[in-house]
Amino acid sequence: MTAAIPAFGALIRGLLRLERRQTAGWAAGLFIAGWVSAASTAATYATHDQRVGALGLVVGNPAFLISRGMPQGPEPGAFLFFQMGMVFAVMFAVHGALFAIRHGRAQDEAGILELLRAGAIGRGTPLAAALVAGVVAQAALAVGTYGGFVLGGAEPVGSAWAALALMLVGVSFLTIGAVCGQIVADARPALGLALGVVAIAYLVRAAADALSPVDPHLLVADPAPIAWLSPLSLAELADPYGQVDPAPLALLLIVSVGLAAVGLLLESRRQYGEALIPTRPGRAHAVPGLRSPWRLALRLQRGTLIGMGLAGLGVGAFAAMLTLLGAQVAATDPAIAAVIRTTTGEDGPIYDLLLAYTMLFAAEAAAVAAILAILRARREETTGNAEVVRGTPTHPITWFGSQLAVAVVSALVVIVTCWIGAAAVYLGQGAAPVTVAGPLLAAVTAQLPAVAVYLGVSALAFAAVPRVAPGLSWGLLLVGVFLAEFGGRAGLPDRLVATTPFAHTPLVTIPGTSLMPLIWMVLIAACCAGAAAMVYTRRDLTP
Amino acid sequence: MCMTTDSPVIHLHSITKTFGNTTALDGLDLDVHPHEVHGLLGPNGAGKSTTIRILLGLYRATSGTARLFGQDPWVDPAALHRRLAYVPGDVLLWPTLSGGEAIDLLVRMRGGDPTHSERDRLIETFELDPTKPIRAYSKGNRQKVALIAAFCLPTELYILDEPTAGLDPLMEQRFKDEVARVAAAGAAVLLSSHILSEVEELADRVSIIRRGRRVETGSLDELRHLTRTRYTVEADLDPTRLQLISRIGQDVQVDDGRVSFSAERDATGEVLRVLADTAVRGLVVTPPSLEELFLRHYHDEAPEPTAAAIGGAAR
Repeated sequence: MTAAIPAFGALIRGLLRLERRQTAGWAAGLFIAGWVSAASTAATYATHDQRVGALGLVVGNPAFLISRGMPQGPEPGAFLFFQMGMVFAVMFAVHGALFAIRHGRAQDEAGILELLRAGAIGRGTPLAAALVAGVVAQAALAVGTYGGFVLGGAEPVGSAWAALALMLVGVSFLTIGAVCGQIVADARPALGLALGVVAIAYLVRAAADALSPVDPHLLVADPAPIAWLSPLSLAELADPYGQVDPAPLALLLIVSVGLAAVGLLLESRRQYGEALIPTRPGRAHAVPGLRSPWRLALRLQRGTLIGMGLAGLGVGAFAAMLTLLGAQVAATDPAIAAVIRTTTGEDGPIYDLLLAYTMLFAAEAAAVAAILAILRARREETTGNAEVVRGTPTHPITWFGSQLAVAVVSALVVIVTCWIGAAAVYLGQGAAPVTVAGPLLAAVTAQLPAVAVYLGVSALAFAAVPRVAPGLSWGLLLVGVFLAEFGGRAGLPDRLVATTPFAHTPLVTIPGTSLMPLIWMVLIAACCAGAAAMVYTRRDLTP
Repeated sequence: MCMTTDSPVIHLHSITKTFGNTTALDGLDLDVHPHEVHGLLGPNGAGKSTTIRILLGLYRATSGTARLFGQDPWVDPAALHRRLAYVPGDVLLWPTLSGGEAIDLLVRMRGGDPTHSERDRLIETFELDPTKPIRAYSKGNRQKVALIAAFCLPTELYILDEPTAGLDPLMEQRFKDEVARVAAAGAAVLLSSHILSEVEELADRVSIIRRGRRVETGSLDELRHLTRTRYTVEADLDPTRLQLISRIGQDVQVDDGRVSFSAERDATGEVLRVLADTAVRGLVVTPPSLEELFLRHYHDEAPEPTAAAIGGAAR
């Protein structure tokens, strides 16, 4: 018993030491994000009238609330938290969930918990130490955010309450992660479960914000009761920059303590390696189709494909919503139309500009899916599994072609699900099926050539410079996304913006638009893929 | 090149392989004949896995001649792989597949049908639970998956890179039984290891490589001089006995109540006769480790192949 207290302290110190770089990185990132968002919100919405105008627009179109928050009046601090608060809350929540799984279930899976449990400490001690260390890390994140907000010009007292509210959101998801780690026996599904809870909390929050009536004069929301069900909403209910209400914060704390107690109780009762839901045994025999490198690659990418497909539905729906709303608002308000034009950076009918601009999200998501598939192939090589397959009568070109094919399928899945998501929103808003099957489908599929360029370049990187392929692929995509999204707005030279394939996707919904850029991009992609196949068959296996 | 019955299954001649500035193979020769179990011995980093990857066409040799079944493995590896089974040294496999699924997949990719193979017998022999996800397997169990997939189908050549890593002694014995089974059926086996005793039992012939070169090759009888046993005796031996010992053994060292020496295996009985009836306080008998062999026989900086005392296999 006497040894338990120092061991507990040593565990916490060890965890914090392990996490010091990660925590510092998160805190620094949140500091910069807090600074930038506080400063840019203050600059963009400098006057009271501008903030009232922006809030008024949202009150008229509650769908906008989904990506914002709960209106708490036009004062600068409240407006900042309305604009950015939920983005930060999600960051804190994800950090909490990741931390709890990384130092909970993942330790069990890696066998480290076996070592810890063999020590002279209680069964629950490692998890308790992880929770304490997690709270300390959350505090560091809160300090970073607070510093960023204040440096960006936000009011200090309100910023302190905001940072505290965000931290309590993070801590609640830390404890949710600890409980999720007790439910399933593997780290990945446990993390999926915890992040799923984050997503549900976000959806409940969005619904609560949309359902809360907003006073047209004060521009303050009267919270709907379901707001009390989501930790994210509780941070909004606390109204950190206004009439600070301690009740939601207290509720967050009570829930966290309760969940921590449940997690610790389960942890101290379970034996090593056990979970509430036992691991399901797999199949003793493979399905008859699992007989080729292509089917293997598809099978390995299955989980990612399902995830990217769901993401595609969301991205498509979001893009469609933004397009329809934007076009509707721009039709009545020339100022907003001007803003949209500076963002999309082209001349043409505002609807087509908006559609092409929002469908960029589909292209970006599809490029992410394609690169994930190519980098999975790289991981097959580094783990030595490619060697196992290539040791069978599998020609190098067959193996490589299979990986490329799965990358193409991944991109297609995202494009198709984006279209389905967008189509659902269009049809829900009363659009004709002809529009959905015609121009909308065209606008989505027109993104494929740009995606193909990224696929081809990533494949070529994998073949020619395998060791740096992950960094190179993600780096190129990031630069491309940045140039496409912000290049026009930031006034960067056209020649620089033109380096991103996304900028070359024409406005296909306007009759008479030249499709030559699409043909060129397909040709470039095909050349890259062909070169990649040639280089791959000529290079050594590179573990 | 036309194959006759006794042309080698594997023929490497003065193979070099460089990766940037490092030389992995430096003029390596290797011949494996049909129906032969061949041990490829060398310490870690000697170039065993590189050799095997060149044989399989996974690496391209920088220079030299590589022939697998008489053909260049780099040109059409897939066709040659129809005639062999391969177990790589470091098997991770796919965490989300079950062991059974991985076995079926690998057998099918070799063109076989798992249900009409040795699958079920081997799963029982190696006591593997095929329904477990590979993520939950230990290293030994992952090794079993790769070995079962290899032994499932009859073939001409088995290439096994450190196949017993992670296996417990009982499973190692079962593995040896399987090698003996496929060898009896006429297959050639290339078995790499860094432990001499591991291949002793199985191999007809052995090649020892060091720093990318072959330093010895021959049958175990021909390499008998390598398998001397080291004795360390804690006893005060009288001069007569010491004299007998120095006649039987080599490298005799006497050090204050402790005598150590090496002796051929055949001399074990003689050694014991000399030591009988003396007050032996302790006795340690160790088989030679490969590192010791290198230190003793080739010195550390002597990478020259010693063709002496080796039969027709030397170049």
